[in-house]
Amino acid sequence: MLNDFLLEGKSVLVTGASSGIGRETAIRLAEQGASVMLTGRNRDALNETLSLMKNKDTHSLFAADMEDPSAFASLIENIGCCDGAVHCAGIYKSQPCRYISESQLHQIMHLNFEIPVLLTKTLLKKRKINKNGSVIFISSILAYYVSEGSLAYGASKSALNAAVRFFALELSGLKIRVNAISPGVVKTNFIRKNNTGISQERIDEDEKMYPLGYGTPEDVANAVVFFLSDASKWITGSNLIIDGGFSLR
Amino acid sequence: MEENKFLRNFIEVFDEVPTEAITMNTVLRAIEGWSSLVGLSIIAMADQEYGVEIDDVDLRGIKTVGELFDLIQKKTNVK
Ligand SMILES: NC(=O)c1ccc[n+]([C@@H]2O[C@H](COP(=O)([O-])OP(=O)(O)OC[C@H]3O[C@@H](n4cnc5c(N)ncnc54)[C@H](OP(=O)(O)O)[C@@H]3O)[C@@H](O)[C@H]2O)c1
Repeated sequence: MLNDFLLEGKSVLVTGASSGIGRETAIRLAEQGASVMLTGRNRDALNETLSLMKNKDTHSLFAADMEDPSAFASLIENIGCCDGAVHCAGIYKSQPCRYISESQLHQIMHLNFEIPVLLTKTLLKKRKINKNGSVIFISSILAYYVSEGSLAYGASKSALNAAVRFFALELSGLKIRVNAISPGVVKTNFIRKNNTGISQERIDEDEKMYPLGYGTPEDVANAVVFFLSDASKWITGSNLIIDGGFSLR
Repeated sequence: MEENKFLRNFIEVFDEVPTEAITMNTVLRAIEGWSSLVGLSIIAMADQEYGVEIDDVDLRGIKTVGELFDLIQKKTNVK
């Protein structure tokens, strides 16, 4: 039974592997025996992730800014076939609705929704996702639970959630499974670097809304392991909310 | 930084506060409709109109519209 959770022999692409949830995911996948293709913008940070991983020589590293079309194209060209892809790259920006700027709306939709969809589509077209593969999108509870200032982000993750279900149906012929994980607040740089204007005090106050407190990157990475492993082979099109009980209230 | 332009930007943050009701001496928390969303909107306004970052701790230390003006001005000068 426990062997079902191992990822030996599986090759997995992880975006956003230079930080936070993506980094911890890469580390966990390596522990479970997967060989990992790590991508993110910051090469030094990717190397740091690699330095924390087991079986270092089985992994590969691709630094690319996915907003740059030519870097995006060469990323897809350079990565090999995979048994799984985990889309962790994402951005957040707090904008009350009357202060949403067109450029930021585009950027958030582009990076959180279009890029993961286009990356998946292109990998499929190039037959780079193997049969029985598993694709995981990191969404957010803000797709379901509204909070002030999160219209653009919440909409981008809602769009992603819809895409998951369409992918799941269309890829079932190849037995490729497609699922989303929607975390509540996870302690990463994400909170600080994307939330100009939110003080530590406000963050501490917010954490009290979580019966089990804020999550850690490991909490999300463990769910990713499950979705990539054969233990979840009958699960597709689902969306797992992991939020320490936040949504119970 | 120009005061009248600032006041216009500031008033845009609110749903229906009349322009005449706001002067540099107005106390922020006494403005009808003050809420945490207004706080977020002021932060977004400072970012978009003036390119400066303020956070809710900065905001808490501020009493009047004029003090907000001064803070934003100070931060613009630092840049
Ligand atoms: N943390 C939370 O509270 C939370 C909650 C719910 C959902 N999520 C979601 O979880 C995912 C990961 O978040 P995190 O907390 O791990 O955030 P993070 O620490 O800020 O990491 C974000 C990652 O996205 C990458 N990225 C951003 N822009 C990119 C671009 N243009 N091209 C390529 N890569 C890019 C970053 O790469 P570089 O650092 O190399 O630039 C980084 O690796 C996101 O999709 C986020 O929406 C997070």
